[in-house]
Amino acid sequence: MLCVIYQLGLIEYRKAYRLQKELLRKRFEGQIPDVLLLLEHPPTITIGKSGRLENVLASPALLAEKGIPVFFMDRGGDVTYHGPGQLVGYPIIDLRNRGRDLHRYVRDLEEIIIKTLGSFFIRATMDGNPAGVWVQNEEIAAIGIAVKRWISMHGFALNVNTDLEPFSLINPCGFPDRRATSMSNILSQNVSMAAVIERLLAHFSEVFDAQIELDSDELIGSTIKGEQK
Amino acid sequence: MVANIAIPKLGFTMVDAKLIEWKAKEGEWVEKGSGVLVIEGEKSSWEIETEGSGFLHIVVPERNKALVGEVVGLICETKEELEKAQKQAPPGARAGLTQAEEAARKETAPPAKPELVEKEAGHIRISPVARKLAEEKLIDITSIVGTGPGGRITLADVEKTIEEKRGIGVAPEEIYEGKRVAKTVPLQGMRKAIADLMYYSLTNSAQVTVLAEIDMTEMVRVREALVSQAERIGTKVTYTDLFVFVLARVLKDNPIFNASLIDGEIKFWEDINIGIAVSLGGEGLIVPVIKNADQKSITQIAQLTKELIKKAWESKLRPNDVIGGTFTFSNVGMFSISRYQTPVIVPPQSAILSAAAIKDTPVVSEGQIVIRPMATFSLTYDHRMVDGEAGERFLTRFNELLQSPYLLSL
Repeated sequence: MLCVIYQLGLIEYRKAYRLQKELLRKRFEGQIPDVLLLLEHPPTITIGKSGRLENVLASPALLAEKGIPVFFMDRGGDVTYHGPGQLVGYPIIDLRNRGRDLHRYVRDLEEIIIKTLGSFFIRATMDGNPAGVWVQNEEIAAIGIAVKRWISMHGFALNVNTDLEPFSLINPCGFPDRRATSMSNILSQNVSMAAVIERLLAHFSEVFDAQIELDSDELIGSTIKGEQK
Repeated sequence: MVANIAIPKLGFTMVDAKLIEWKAKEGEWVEKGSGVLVIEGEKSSWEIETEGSGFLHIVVPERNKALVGEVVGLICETKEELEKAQKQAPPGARAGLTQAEEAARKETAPPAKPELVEKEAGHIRISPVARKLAEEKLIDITSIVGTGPGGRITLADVEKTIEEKRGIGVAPEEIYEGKRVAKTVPLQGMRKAIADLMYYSLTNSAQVTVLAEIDMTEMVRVREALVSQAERIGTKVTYTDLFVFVLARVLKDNPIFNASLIDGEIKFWEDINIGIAVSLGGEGLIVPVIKNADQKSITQIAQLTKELIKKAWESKLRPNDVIGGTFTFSNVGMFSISRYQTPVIVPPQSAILSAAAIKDTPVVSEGQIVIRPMATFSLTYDHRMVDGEAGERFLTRFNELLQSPYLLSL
């Protein structure tokens, strides 16, 4: 199965969201193949469908001061923080071609991240229940997806070089006693985002049995330009 | 033995149903054949009866939706089975999905209680309705000023923020293919059912419509006579009742209009069940069925039609009232300006007839222009089964009976 990769760079949360919706529609109609968006967000807090407000620890006033917007989102999962240095991936893929198995999809995403971390000699696990990837009880990647008419959107957020301080403003994924961590935090050195992306794509291709192609402007680029009016 | 209570497929395009009421409590003993769950699906309410006796275990609580085929409850013969079932899926925990927008996660998270409001100062506090709107419109929560108790964000606060942002032009409006979106409404419920049905009908048959204008002079007389007898008959006969009565006879003489093309075979139906299209205002439309219309008197048809229309408006139609139709009649006379329509066949029927209001119209009779009460009819038929000639024969016979009602007594 073909999957087109598009790197968006640093993109505002809502812009990326609207882009996802447009791509999802096109995917559903068969106008485009499966897509994986890779990007970073400016500091943003999002609250999923099962998100509880008490997991946002800071007051709206404080967050406004810090310039961190908060959005309610139509994805699963609880509260998440996004920020520069965090690799965000939104696979917009047709799950009808993948056995219509949502749980398997989420598990596959976790596996991709775990394998990617493995390439950097970081041992991560799924730690049982909560959707996310953990290194010794600290969350290194969050997962929260939505599926509309069997097309996926939202996805995962992997802390590569993310500044971890803003995570104190929330209970990551709703766990008050858990903290967040990042690859650079664990390795005590900066990690090349490009290297992480390269490894991630390799594992993505392997786990999803997908043929990866970097997008030329034709397919996805035109949609993005359309959305950026 | 544990038996499943699953959502039955009640309609052609039914995909899900809303659970309205569990008639027994969690863990309560229910007797075989008793009604245990009321659901709403495919425009009618339906009571599911248990197939066996046992202890009820509720898997999906009321006010939720479930897919056709989804197991929403269990009947456990023994207490041990009940306990086991309760442990595995605690009452209320859902693993089901609806086909409309759905968020998934690895584990079913506990549903957020709708009345949950943070008590500590400094946290975001927002009403569920406001939260929904903020989510839909992608409004940054930190930019909203909460005017509720303790700074709680109310629906009005969110709406105000949206308005303000729109004014400054900072609003993250939704733009779709260059056009600004005012409102987005998901296609669901009755609207979706109708949409799917209409589309299916038109893409899976060869529909052709012929139009006729028919002199109603005789019918007006008949109706006036029957209306004057309303007290004796017990009901006021309408034109719809008369047309259904006449149509039943016409269908008897033209069986191809009371047939269906199914899997490459034409099935001619023994029974003549005429559906009557009922508009529910802006809420959609529904087609209750007069069964064996050819064996009913005008009075019976009139009484039954009134009953069914009343039930339709009160959303009390049962599935039995709307299935089994072999032909459909739609009287748009009450509210239409149009004289002719191109009605869409209700699959798998072979035809449908619509009628517009009777209007005094100038016509030519014996070289003179006279005014006659004329009604216009639109007959759509499936050309895979019915040819033009058959269509003309149908309308000719229909017209014959409307001109000479005494023929109906033969």
